[in-house]
Amino acid sequence: MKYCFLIFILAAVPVFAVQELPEDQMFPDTNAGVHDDTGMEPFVNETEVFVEMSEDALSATETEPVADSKLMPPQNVTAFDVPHDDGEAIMVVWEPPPEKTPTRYLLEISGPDGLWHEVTETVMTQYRVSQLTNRVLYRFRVSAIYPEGVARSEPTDPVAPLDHWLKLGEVPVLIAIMIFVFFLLWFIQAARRGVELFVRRISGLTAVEDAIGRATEMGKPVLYVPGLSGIEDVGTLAALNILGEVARRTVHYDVKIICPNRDPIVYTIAREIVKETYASEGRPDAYDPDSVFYLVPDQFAFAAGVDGIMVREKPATIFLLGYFWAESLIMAETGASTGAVQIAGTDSVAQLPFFITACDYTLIGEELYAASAYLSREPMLLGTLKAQDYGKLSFLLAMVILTLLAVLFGIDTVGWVEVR
Amino acid sequence: MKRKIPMTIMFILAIWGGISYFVGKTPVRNFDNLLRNRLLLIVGAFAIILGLGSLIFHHSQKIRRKARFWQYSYVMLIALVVTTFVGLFGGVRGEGRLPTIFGGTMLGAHEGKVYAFMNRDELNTFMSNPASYADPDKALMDLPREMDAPEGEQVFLSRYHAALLRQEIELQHAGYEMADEPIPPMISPVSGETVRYRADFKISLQALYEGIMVPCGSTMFAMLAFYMCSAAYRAFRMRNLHAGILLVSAFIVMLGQIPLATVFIPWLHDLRQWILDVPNLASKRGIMIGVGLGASATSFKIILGIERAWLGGGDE
Repeated sequence: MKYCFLIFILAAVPVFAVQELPEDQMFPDTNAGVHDDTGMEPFVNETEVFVEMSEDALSATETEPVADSKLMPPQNVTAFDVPHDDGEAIMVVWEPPPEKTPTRYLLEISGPDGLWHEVTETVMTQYRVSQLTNRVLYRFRVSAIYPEGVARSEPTDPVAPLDHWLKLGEVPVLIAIMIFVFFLLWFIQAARRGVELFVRRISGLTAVEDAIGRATEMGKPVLYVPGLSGIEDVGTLAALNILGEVARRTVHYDVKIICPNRDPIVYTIAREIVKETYASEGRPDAYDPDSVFYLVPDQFAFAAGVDGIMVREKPATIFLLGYFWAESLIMAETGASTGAVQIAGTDSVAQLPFFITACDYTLIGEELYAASAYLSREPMLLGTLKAQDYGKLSFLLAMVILTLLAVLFGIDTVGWVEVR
Repeated sequence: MKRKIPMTIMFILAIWGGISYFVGKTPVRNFDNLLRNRLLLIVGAFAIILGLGSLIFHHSQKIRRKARFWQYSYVMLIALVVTTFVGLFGGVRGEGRLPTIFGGTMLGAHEGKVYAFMNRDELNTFMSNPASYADPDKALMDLPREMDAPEGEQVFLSRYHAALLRQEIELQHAGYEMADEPIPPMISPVSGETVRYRADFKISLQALYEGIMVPCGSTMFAMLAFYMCSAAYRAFRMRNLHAGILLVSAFIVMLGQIPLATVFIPWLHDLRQWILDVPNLASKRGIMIGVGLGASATSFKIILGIERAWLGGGDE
């Protein structure tokens, strides 16, 4: 439970920070000037902090006439810093003209240079202007575009984007993570206490043992492709976890393993995993440094290289686990043509149909992540599988409850969970 | 220690990654970017050295052992040496020390005007940013003054472009007038008045990539269409109820894609869209929620040190 406290303390710090914020900062009064984390301050006093607009620019823009005085411009155009974000963004909102609806609106921005630049044309009455510079003052104006002409609003008060400590829009993610971590730690504790956890049979993983046994009987190697993505992809990490388990079995059965890699960092880790596994199983002499190798970084060149290995070496078993793109079917079909038993698994939804079609067994989505726990049968790892199931159950319940609240009572539940 | 150090580093960086996701302050974000982009690049650079070592070792072993099709390993090693040489001395776009051009480019004269032809990419690059062809040899020094860059715009040309310009000047002296605008290279204005024509080939990494890697990659990608056909044949065999449902759904979706079919069966397009938007999307979302939770669980398992398979087997 020591991890539990650590995670909750880390997770709770920004939550307490939210509670301490004064109300006026949560929803700033945009007409009052620029707001900072520490309170409201008029922008005219911030000459050391904010980059102000030149006097010429201010006077020039304010005195520009409306293009067509008969047409009504957009009303109440206001610009304000997007609250509790990571900066570089300003929200501009306006109301449509009272009498006639324009075909679209033209939003313009003026920065320190005083010149007006087009931001976008839109039919909406709000726009989030991003990629701005923090603490630099900007002004905005909106033109209503009619078939007869254009009516331009007065420029807004200058406003500067600011970065904030807590990204409030991510709080739903934080809450979801906390719930999930709670389940995770709960079931890990349960596993430690010796509670028996039932995990359903996953045929693709049950077949691993048989597939490697087949390679032993045939005297042919096992080909293991840990996806084409980099180490930053969790699917690649899952594939590397399974590689350890597969390598352990190849040591036991004395089968050669071939592991080509596309990413140099993944190659380095895969090589260490296989090497360490051989050492830990008491067979360091059996480790072939040529078994795990770097092939090529290009996507289709890699597919061609793996196809070549399949055709030349005729492996008895092929594992295609990790993240794949369009090359998935090229490799899976070539493998099928060689008569190998193929076990594939990916978290790329677009490639799953190809693997299901061309491979003997396919680990669908989350089964890829479950593989390491399933194969090792370590109680603590199995506990995390149960946590995944309960996490899904929570999501399902949340979706049902929020949908009912929205449908029956008209509550904006989407706004509660929306990540901004 | 062999395991504790990487696990400690990983734990600290993972917690940092989690915190930086929820904190919006610029210094935090900048440091996060530094870790994610710059440091990862440095680690990647070292890993590439290891990868290259592995590649050379792997193919050398194949040649030494006379493994099956060992001759291809020579192709790989020679290609590696040639590409490295061209990359180091020819540059990415031919800006290196190697003679970057065989021959030159096309020069044409038409109705008393001279046109310089470059390939499309080169022309676009040259016209958009002449300074990208800066050459320390200052090739313009040998040129007549009237051909210098306009006042206030100092333009340096590469050896190749200087030679090209010199040829143009020679043509001018021969009585031709320079055209103001280059004609797009794909349109030939040279109707019987071609003065010179020579092949244009650069020794550069880009030329190797575009001339060899891109066509080979396209060939592999094109093969996907044939693999799809054979996979579709296998998938659509009606072996059981599920395969039958798949066959019928796929038939409707494919038929609904064809405009002619929707002319005869107007509701087919709506049915196709319903299949894609409701049952298909629902199952995809189910998988995606599972993937999201599985990815989170895997991350937490690694962060908390429960999952250690990525460190290899064995004890501490």
